[in-house]
Amino acid sequence: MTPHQIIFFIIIPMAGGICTILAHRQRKLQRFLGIGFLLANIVTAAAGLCAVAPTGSILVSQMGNWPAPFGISLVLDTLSALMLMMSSIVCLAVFLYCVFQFDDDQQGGFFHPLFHLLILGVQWSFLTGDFFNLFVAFEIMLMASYAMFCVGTTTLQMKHAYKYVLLNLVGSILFVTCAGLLYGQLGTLNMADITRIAMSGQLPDSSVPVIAMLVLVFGGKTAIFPLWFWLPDTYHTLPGAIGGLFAGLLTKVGAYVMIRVFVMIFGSAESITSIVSPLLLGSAAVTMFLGVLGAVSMHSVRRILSIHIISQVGYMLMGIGLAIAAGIAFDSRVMAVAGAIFFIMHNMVVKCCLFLCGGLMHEHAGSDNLQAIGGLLKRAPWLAVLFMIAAMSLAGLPPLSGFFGKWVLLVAGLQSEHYVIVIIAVITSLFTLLSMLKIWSYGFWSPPQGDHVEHPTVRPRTFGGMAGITLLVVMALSMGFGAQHYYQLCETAAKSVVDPTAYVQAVLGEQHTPIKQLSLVETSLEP
Amino acid sequence: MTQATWILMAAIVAPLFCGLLTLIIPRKAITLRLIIALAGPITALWLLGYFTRTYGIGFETADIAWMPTLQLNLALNADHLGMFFAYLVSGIGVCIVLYARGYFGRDADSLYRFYPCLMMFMTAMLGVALSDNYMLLMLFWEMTSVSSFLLIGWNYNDSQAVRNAMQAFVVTAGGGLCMLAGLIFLGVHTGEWTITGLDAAGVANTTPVLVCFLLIFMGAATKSAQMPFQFWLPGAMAAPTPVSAYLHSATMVKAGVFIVGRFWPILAAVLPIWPMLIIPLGAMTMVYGAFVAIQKTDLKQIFAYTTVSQLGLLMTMYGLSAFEYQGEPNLIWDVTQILNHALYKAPLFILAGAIGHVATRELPDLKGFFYRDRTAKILTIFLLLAGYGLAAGPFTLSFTAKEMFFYQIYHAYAETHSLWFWPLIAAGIATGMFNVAIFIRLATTLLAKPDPQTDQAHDDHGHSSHGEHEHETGIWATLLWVPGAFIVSFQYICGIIPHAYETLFGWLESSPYYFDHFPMTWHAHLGIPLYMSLIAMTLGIALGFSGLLRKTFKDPCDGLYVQFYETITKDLGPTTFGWVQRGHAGFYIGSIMVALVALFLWSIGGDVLGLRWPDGVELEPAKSLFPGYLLTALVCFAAILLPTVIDRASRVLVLGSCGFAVSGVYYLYKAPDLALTQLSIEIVSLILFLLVLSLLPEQPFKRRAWVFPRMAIAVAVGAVMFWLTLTSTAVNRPTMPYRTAVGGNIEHLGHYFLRNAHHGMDTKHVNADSLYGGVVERPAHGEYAENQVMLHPGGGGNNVVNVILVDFRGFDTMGEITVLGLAVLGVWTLLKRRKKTGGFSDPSSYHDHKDIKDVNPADMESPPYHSINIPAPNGPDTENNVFANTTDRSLNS
Repeated sequence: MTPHQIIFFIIIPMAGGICTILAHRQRKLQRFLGIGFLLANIVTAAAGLCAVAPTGSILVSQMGNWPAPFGISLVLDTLSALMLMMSSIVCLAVFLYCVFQFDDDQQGGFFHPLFHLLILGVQWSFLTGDFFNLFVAFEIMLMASYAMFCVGTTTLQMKHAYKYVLLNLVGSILFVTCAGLLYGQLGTLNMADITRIAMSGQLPDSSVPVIAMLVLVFGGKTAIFPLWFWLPDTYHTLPGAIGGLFAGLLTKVGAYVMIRVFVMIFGSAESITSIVSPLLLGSAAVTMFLGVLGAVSMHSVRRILSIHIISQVGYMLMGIGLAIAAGIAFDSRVMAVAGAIFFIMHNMVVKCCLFLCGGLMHEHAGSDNLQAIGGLLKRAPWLAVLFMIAAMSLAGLPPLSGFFGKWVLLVAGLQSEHYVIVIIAVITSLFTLLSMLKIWSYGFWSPPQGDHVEHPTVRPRTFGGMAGITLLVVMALSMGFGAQHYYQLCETAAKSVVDPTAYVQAVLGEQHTPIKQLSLVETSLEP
Repeated sequence: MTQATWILMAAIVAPLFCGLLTLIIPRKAITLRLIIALAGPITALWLLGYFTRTYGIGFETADIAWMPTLQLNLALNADHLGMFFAYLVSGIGVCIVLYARGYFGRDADSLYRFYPCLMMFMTAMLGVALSDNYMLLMLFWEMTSVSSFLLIGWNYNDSQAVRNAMQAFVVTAGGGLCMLAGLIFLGVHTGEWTITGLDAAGVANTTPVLVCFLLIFMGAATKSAQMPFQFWLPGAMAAPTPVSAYLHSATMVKAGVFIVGRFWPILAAVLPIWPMLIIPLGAMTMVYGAFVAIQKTDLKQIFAYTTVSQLGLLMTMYGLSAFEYQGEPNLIWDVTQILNHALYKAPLFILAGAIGHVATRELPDLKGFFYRDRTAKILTIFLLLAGYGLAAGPFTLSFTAKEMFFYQIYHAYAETHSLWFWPLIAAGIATGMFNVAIFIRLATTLLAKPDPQTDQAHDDHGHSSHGEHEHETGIWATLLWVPGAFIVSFQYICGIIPHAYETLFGWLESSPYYFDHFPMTWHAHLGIPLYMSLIAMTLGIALGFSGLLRKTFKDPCDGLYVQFYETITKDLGPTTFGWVQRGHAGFYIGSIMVALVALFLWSIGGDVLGLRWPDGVELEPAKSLFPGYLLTALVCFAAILLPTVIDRASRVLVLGSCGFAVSGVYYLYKAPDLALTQLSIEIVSLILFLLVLSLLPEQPFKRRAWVFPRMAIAVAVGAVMFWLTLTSTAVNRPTMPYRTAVGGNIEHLGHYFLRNAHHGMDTKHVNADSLYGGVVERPAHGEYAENQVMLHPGGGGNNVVNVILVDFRGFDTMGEITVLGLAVLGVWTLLKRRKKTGGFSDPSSYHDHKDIKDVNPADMESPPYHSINIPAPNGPDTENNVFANTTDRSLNS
């Protein structure tokens, strides 16, 4: 893959969106196009990953061919490539589910274009190297998600969509304000340029509150402690698959950006990390614990899962907070970031998979309220098996994917002697298990009740759903049994994030690395 | 020598492989299924035997790297203890596979489901026994918990079984997590991730090691059902009897004891807390288990509690082993003790299951069972033979083991002369007494003359308590008791012929020294331990025949898990989470705003008074900019007024006045384009708002709540924003290191934009090393291509703003257009939907919709979190928010 080809990550979903708008009356064509574009997406992501991961190199494309801090840069480093790889697989799985499980009403309208454009926003966020452009990417993603709330809606969904839109708008306003203020403070929006400024210790004192404000902006998108409100009130109203898509992608984009911003860009600035790290760690502790408490006390599959998202975000936050904690060794920082990245990847796959399982449970039993269903094991044994694997993976049982993410984070926490958060992480893990057992015990076990008992002859077709779930479970299993390989990728990504010299060099060019800045410039070129 | 490791790994994985193999053969092929299932443990046994013959026990196998970075490697430890466990697991496993065939009869579905789970457990347990690497150990450890969970909840139509399965899993997994934390901490602390390597790593009695030990011990204590966690084990008896016999008596519950055994040579030596913690806990569990056991009536419950008691004994044994006797380690034959328990407890369960199968498991209903028929006679005889083992009567291995335990106590006492051992001696005697009494009661009940009336009731019981399986007849039916009889025979062989024990099992004993002290029945050392045994037996016989302790007794710890679960899910969870998640949009936005202010205060270190007006920013004199002040005052006034206005239309107008004033400010500061844009947006939105408002129903008068807090938050947020904006404009920005093509500095982005908007001034005449002229492409593999510069022709426009929008940052613009397009799609979807279904709240259309199932009717009315008392979820209906009302009602009308 050559540097300029990374624009395919933008082109493919955008073309997907446009083509499906044009074909919006032909359902079948839409489906074919959709699968085609999503497969192309996966291929591109794989090509991108192969291009950057083995050597940890970085592909940069300057939009409009304007040089780095002046135009907009798209950057594909290992971190982005990993995120793109995972998100494209998750998208395909959800798409399979949607295409085969949804009725015409739910797939109707502009469902397909919205789906592709949502992916556009997500991939755009992963690629961009510019703050304001990130805002635009977020807006695409959010606007697509707002519109998706309107497809095949129920009244309940509409009611809660209002809160979703309102709170996310508040977040967007904060974001754009902060982007403006940051530009005011630093005179640039290019991430590499800001990294250069931070690494060379040129951050003005007055920029500290503005940068701290970014915790609020991205914390809101990631659904961390005092900002998560939009999530638990809304996700459970969505159909399982859409919930899975949102759960697998949206908050993870937030977590990704937090790594980018707080570890890579400002990770080297003592004045920032000393303020942000305690905030993140404190918030992580409350987020993971309170989230899991909420999840375990719910009674419907989707509610449990959606509130769980928050709790899992806490783990990612823990990794980020540890990575920038004071006095932590380079290796432990890399470990913490790698753990967070691994956890994000794991969570994208597994959380989405569980939502899809929840959707199929709903198809079988006619409800996903655990008090109204039961005994699905007999009706859908394979679904049960797949659910069990995903659930145990989420609960972090070895050798499944969740275990290793947790393991790395615990080791990083113990190495840096942050015992409190480690204790909370362990307790949270137990409650996570409890909540998963709750779904299993009252959904798949227990005396049978629900549609599948009342109408034993009516069998919903679940081929597409099972295909999607199987794809994700296979991914999750490979992340567990092949954790070594995934972790090494995460480590490569983490190294380039913890020490962003290469990133800065790649985007700005050789001579603007923070180490030899300014002094070399004097010798530069005459006409 | 990785070959040895692979052989052991093959032994570990063989059962699981066979278990999965049984899944692919047809359901009805019962015999084939049995044969394949049998192949699992038999292969494992054969491979273990091959390993023992070829390499010998204690052979140090080489590690195979699996995940070296993550410290998960195939490091195995085939020492005596590990190999003994492996043999035990696969040996008993063979018997259980056969017994399951007898137990489930021709119930093909059950067998189909049962063998894979059982085989998964077998693999897990073999893995626990042989792993050396911490993470590998954890892997198999959690796998035992999972398979135990699946097997306890076997009868999933029974909610009690399901609850018990959850209880067992949560308790053991909770301990497992502690153990994981402990092992990770130990690994991080010592840098050594294998148990055998720990010795060399040189642990000392430090706080971290102590914490690690306590955490690991938590795992062991929960798994081995030590007080106060013993309740999960009797609960686990909801599992089919083969499972109870295998997991919950013979093997899995010993894993905790096993872990303690794994760590004792290393940790008992350095940690003085070792005996002080383990002995009292074990002794308490030992006595308490036996005490509860005698008061139970269900056969499986009785045996479950005696298992608890025996596990306590094993723990105590490891605690006592920390003491020395005459310069040698205290008498510890852990293998004998553990083996002995397996050899009588597994048969007890097997036969109890068999009796329950043909009659009932309730002891009072089994009166005179012996006289029922031929099968009953056989079952009773073998049950009593195994029960005699439980009572540790002479001529059994159990007697030897009990003697050994007494010797241990006695030795420890003789060495230390500490008074603390007197209660322990009493506990040992009491446990022995209870066990004897249990045997006496079993015998007297089963052999008593039957009551003619109750005879009929038996068969019904048998069926109701056991679900419907087809009963087997003929040769297969004998599988119900033959495995048990086979296992129990070893009790007597080893008990009567000491030499046989040495031949059969002696080579597995981990501490072979001291063998001459072996207190076999035939040459029992006269001494205090023997007298203790005699006292226990006498008291036990007396108790057994007496009427004492015949009432059923409920273990108060039984409620612990339920209490925990209810507290978390019904009390703590909903209250705390519900307190945050109130379902009220106003609260949410308020919290975010408060967070914003708090964040600002945190970032400046709370030093509000220390904020200084930035240098270089001067206020304009009031005279020259009076209109500006006036407009600003207007904006502020309108904004503050907003929360107090109640009428919707007025609020829209107030909001509008804010916007108009802002556009005035733009105009004053010489930004007419912005002013125009703002103005047109204000006009359009105002009109739209008012139009929508006219469609809404009358608004009832309602006083706004929380006006002043709202105002305070708003003012604080405004102040913060003001300050940030002020400092952002006044700041000394970092200098840009970028230079123009002619050598001057590019001072800021605008500078560059101005220079290059029309034609690329900074792109011409630059040599290849420069950056500004174009893009230095970085080839994929990290080398820099030299001189690869692409010249940029410039923006080609005269209006710099336009060029920024469509060229410099044209990519942003593309994104924004996409956003607009998406908004159109969303609105279109909404409108189309409304047309199609005629509104959102039309009940008929609503019910047509498939997603009706999504909505629990209770959900619609009540708060989203069941069983929580929190304010209603929806801002819109309860609160007076402009947007809320418009969105909600306009859609309905």
